[in-house]
Amino acid sequence: MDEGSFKQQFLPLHPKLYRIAFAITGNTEDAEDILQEAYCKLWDKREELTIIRSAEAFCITLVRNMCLDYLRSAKRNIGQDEVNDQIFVSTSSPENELIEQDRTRVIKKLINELPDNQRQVILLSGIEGCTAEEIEHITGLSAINIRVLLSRARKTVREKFNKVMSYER
Amino acid sequence: MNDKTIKQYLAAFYDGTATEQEEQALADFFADKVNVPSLWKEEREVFLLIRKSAQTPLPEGLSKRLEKSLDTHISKGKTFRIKPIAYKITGIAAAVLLCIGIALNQASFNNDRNMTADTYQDPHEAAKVAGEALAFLSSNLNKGIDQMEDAQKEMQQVSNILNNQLK
Repeated sequence: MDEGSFKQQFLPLHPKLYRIAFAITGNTEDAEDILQEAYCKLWDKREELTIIRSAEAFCITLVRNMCLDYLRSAKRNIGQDEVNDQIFVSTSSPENELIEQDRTRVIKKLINELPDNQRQVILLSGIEGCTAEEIEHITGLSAINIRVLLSRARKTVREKFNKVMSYER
Repeated sequence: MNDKTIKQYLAAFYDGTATEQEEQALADFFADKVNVPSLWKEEREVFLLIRKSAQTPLPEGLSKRLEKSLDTHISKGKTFRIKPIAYKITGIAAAVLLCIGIALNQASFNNDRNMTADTYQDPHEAAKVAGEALAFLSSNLNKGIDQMEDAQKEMQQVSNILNNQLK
């Protein structure tokens, strides 16, 4: 596989792979580092990739394993998990924009404070095109466990958010 | 979408059982800010925020950084790949030199063998020539011994003269 066809086939997968890495590590820098390393590994294995049935599934497994290795290793910066501050802005007026940014930050903080497995499931379920089977594969959990964790995560976030808002009102 | 369906979809969303289509239907319904009944305003905000916050945004320039790091890795790999080729060439050259060395050594060994091969096939003739050679060697040896004896006699005389002078 030459450089051009490798880039054409694998680089478009980076948004999904990055989001998976972020969902597992909870840290933007770690997720990006892992992704860079993953692409280098993929390039080194490019000859083997031609016989693999689903390149996307292979990439997801590779990133997942690298993230889990990273979390198990001493390199992990405990307590460095962060709230991703990039905000989606959709409202028109500056005042509404500020309110929405603030509330989004609150929600992101609440998601980040969830137990690891709940945070991973809620973030993985938010990835566009990430199927239930893929979430099961990434987390190693059954469909029932994922449903329970997702439910707990969403309900906890809603409850805590409403509590924060009730103090503000 | 009626209130009952919204309630049902929202319950499914918080139970983790909502399908992608149900979630999308809720998102579409809540996206219409103006026409959403006041009854759903709070739910709308929380739902949209949770849904949006779960969608991790990509860092700016991620794609370019990934491609750059990949390019660096590929270019490093290219320089490293020269090494095995160089090793192969060196190995082949060494093997060729070894073969040449062995061939030359073998040729030289064969020459030595030719030199030590029998000169004569007929043993009588060989014995005659060998006898002549030995006689020639013997006569030369005798000449040498005679000369040595002469030299010794002269040395003795010189020694006697010296001894007489020293007395």
